[in-house]
Amino acid sequence: MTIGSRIQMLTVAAVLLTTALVAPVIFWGFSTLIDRQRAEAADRLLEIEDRAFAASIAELEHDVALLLALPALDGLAARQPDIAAALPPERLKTVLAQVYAAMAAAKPHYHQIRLIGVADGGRELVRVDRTAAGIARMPEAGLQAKGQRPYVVEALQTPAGQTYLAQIELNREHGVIEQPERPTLRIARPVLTGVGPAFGVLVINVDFAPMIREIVGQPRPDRDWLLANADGHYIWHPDPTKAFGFDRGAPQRVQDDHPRLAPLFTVGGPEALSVRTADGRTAWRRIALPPLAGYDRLYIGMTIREAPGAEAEIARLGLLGVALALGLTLLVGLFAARRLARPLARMSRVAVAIAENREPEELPTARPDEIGVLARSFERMLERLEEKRHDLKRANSRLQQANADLEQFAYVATHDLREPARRTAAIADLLLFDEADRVSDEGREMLERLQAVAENMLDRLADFRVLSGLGSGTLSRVETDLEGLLDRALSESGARVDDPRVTIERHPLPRLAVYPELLALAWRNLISDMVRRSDGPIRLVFAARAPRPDEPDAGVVLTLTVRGVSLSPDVARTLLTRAARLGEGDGGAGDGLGLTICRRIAERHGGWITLTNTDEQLAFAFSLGATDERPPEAG
Amino acid sequence: MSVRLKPDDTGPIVMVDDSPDDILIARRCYRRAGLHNPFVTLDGGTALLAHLDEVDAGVAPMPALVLLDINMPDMNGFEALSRVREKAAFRELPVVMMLTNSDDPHDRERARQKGASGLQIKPTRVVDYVGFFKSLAP
Repeated sequence: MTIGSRIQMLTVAAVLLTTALVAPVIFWGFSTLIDRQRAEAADRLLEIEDRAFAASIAELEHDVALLLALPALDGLAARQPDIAAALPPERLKTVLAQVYAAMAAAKPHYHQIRLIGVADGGRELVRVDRTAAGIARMPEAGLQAKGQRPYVVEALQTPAGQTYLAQIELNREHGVIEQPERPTLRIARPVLTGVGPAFGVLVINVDFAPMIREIVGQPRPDRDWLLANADGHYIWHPDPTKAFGFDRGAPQRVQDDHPRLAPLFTVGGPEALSVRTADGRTAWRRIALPPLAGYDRLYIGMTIREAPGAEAEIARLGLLGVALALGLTLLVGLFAARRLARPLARMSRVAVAIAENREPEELPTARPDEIGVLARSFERMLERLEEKRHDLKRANSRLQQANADLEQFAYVATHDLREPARRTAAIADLLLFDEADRVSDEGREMLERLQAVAENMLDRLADFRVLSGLGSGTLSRVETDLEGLLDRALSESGARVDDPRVTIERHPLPRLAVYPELLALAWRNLISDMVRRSDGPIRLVFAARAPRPDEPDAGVVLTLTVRGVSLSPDVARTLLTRAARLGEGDGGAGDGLGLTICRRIAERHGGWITLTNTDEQLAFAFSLGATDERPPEAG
Repeated sequence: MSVRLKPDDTGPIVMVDDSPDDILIARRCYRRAGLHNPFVTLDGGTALLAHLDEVDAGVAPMPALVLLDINMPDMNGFEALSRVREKAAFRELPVVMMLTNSDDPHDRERARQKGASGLQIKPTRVVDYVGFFKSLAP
């Protein structure tokens, strides 16, 4: 895998990991932000509606004050004696009723306007009702005594100039909740005479439901408006059974539904609170009412619901954003990784081209970064490598010249040495032929020995030429039939193997790539040496085998087992070394460079030679180095 | 390459060698071989070319065979052979190169290229040398 691919994979992994970590945070952040915005929106709406509600109450208060200031009421309450004297009470009531009706007509949610007297058990004096048929004055017979109703009692105790707001509740007629239910807000002021007890109470009943609807507007699916009294009882709720539960004997309180909002409904508690709900948020606020007697605290609330699937939508948008960011980051990452890896890939191509001996493309040496440092170093290495190669080529050329010179020297030396040896042997032979009858026996023996020494020297020179690579069959391996090569070696051993004491036993030999002249020389030398060391019958066994496990790696091992020759341990140990080369001191003829040459020949083949010496036999193992060739099957 | 004298060719056998020892050995062995051609010896390539000039001039008889040593100081055998072959009259003259070593493929190849008629390793045994001369008999 290339470095570029690894960087790209790491980039992808880093982006995925970052996404996995960041996505939940983004989602949580979105949710929190939206909830906070929802809470702030609720607060703003509550503040607006709070003011609207307070304004409605203030309007009511002004209307009450207006009705209290009517001259007809002054006459009726005897606050203006001249009016009382000018018009009879009934006429004044009629005027008041007309004004009340006009007011009710102008204010659609005014359900009832009444003047209740203190006298006669708090009997209603003037009453205008909004009915299904319209606005109508209640006949005298229909007027009721309300003196025991709490709102009348408490309104009468209200100080001068102050307005009394009664508890908002379901309207009752003759003590029974009116059906259909009609939530009613009552606002009142006492009718004072200036001296003595109050004359009565002016009360406006407001149909609470249309009033609230007018304030909060049309219902919306994502939010609900709520109202609660000072104790937290719902007086406006989308669930009709919850509003005015206290009137029906089944109280429903805000703090029961949302305990965390309980502090809001305590004296001295916070003015606003907001809590998160399962499907959104509910926020409450105490309405800033003008100074009123009686009912001094009201609370307005709002529940904002999340639209169905809103969380999923947020998640979807979040995921979409994350996916876009992920894709963009991946593209940037992959582009960056590719851009970063490009010079490395270029360096890699240059290295491969150099390794394959092709012309490399230009190295990015102009880059100011680490790649540039690497490229410049690489370029210097190439230059040094080229210098080394040039030096090596020159050294190799000099070595070749030296080898050629050495070869020429060896050639001349062997030639120049061979000539006198040959002439010596030939002249000795001539003497033996031409002067045989004039040479004594001792002289003949000396001439024969002189001839043998000269021929021995010729043999050694021949071996030397073979070993030094001057002859043919010594410079390269040649696929050779070893059976034929052994035939030749035995033939060249001549008289030694023709000796009647010598028995040759041969086993199949393979066809192998060998240096044929060298191997033939090794065989000749082994044969000559072994025959020379034997005084009696001798048996030479030639074979080939696979290497044994305890032997160094070798494809084929040629063996020569010699029966009839025994060596002392010291001689056997040094037989294959230069110190023990044959021919020294024993005067043997034709021994060449001895068995040390066999070791050199084995090493030339990349193999080895060993000698195992027992009482009965000597066993030479001659390895030809590791090849794919296998020895012939036994038998 | 086997070389034989032509029947009735009475020309001399010319041996060219700078070594008096080799000439002595060859002459003694030739005498034993029983050939009737005169045995003439020369001590180098220059002498050979001079002798052939005489042959060309009709002063000396045409050799039946030339035995040419390779390693000679003034002019080696290969150069001498080249010069001989340059003369049209001697392009067919039998020339046997006398080798010191038997295993040098370069000498053999070079001798063949120069136009040698045969190659012979200088024997060390009289019997072998005599046998070589006898093999030349027609």
